[in-house]
Amino acid sequence: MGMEREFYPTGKAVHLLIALWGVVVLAFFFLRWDMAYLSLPMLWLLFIAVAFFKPALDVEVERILPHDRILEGEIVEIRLRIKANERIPSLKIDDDLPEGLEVVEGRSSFVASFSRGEERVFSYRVKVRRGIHEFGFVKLRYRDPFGFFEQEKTVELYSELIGVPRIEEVQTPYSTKGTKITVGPLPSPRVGEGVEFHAIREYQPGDPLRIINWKATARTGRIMANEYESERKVDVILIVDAAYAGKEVFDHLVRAAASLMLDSLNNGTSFGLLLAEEVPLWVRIDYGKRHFFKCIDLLSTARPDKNNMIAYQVKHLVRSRFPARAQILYFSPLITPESKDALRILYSYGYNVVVISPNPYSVIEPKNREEALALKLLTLQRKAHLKKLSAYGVVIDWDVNKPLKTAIAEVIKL
Amino acid sequence: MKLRPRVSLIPFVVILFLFALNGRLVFLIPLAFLAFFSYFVGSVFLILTAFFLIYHKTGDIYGLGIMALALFFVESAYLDREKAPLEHYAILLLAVLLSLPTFILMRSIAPLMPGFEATALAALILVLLYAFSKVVAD
Repeated sequence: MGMEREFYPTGKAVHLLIALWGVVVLAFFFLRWDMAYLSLPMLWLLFIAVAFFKPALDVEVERILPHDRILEGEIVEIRLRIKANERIPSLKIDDDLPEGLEVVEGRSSFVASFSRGEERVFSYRVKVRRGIHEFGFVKLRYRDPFGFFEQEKTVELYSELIGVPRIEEVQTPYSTKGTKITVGPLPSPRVGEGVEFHAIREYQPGDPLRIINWKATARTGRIMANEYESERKVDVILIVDAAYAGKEVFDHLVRAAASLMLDSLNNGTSFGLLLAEEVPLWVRIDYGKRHFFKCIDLLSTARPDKNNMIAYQVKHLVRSRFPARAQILYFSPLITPESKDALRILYSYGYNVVVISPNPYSVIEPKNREEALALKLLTLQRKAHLKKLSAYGVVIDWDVNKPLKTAIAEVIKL
Repeated sequence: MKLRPRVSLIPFVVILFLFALNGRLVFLIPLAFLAFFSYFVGSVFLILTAFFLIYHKTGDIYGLGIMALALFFVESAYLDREKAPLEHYAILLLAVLLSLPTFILMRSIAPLMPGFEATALAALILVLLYAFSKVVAD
């Protein structure tokens, strides 16, 4: 724990000191300077306050978070456990509340008095937004019982809370059949064997015994074995457009990406993630839960970025990193010309693209008739744009007031 | 709302009584009343009380007692506003009352320091005062 101490008199101490000086000066002024003894009560009081009520603020502080990853929108309880190793008559405790957390119950500052060795727990509840929320310190402020001086100490206490995007249930808007051989929800190391029955053939030496079809063996008199079809899965690449222009629906964008990523995990397909921020974040294609959580952490901390060069980034990665015949899931409000260019580039390289495009106008509430009209015009313009762009891939225009599942079902008849 | 008993009422009543008896201090009573609400007014009240005590040469144990009482009143009004526990009042009372034996001690050793006694005391008080200001300010 690092510390920074401060000790300073309060306005009250200054008032008393002025009164004290006043008495002395008056005594001198009236040439009855022996009567300066009238300041004795004040001197004693100040002496006692300074000599006996100046604590070292020897306090142990611990911040208890229920979990370091919290689903966005959830309410969690933050607890501060304070143990005082000395008697502190009045201690104010201020927690360093990160901006992205909204207090919904209680307060992040407390006032309490402690006896030596006493331990107390204070708590408040916050609503978590998506993103990384960092607590840096706890500020302790002590005031002596007479309010003559204050002492401040900042205890460095780092905790981190990641608000992960909310995940919705979705339908897979693409075919998972592809070229990669995987089995089941998680790829099996036994490459080449699937679970789907394909045919019966004669048993060959070297085949595992468990594939012997005993019924068929009894029927034909020869040892017959089942043949299974390998499941070949597609590689999925999720591209998230972090354009600043779409910041109103960015949280929705991230939620959609997280939801489809979970869907991909459940389907057993391997997936990669491109987060097109100013500096592109590319997570290579992999599979499994660990990979999923790694990608979710990245999505949690994603922010809309002003300098967006998604077309350039996609072009570069298509040439160097994207596998051929991968399924692309492109999350973009399709507002910026760059984001539209990126779609055209993906199409020109022969990728199947499904675009989930949260409608940025669906979050705007028009305040008057003019605004309503403007919104209508913009929505029409967007529709026309999307219609043109649907030549390059399946475009799902998502009114964010509806569930994503519905938006997908409207476009893809499964 | 639960009404808390105000400890500062006790010294206030005594001040009322003493100031009313004194006659010279009677017009400080409204100021004393305002000290319930503001510490700044309280400190002004302290200075004015000292002013009249010094001006009318009302010193000795009686004068010091009035000063101590006034300080106890102003501080206890502050403690009342802060809803302090009773032990803080006890400490305050002790600190304020300590000035009386100190004064008696000073007065008793004063004759042993002929001609120079009061000056030395005044100088001592000044040095102490400076030291405290310094400690508090640092």
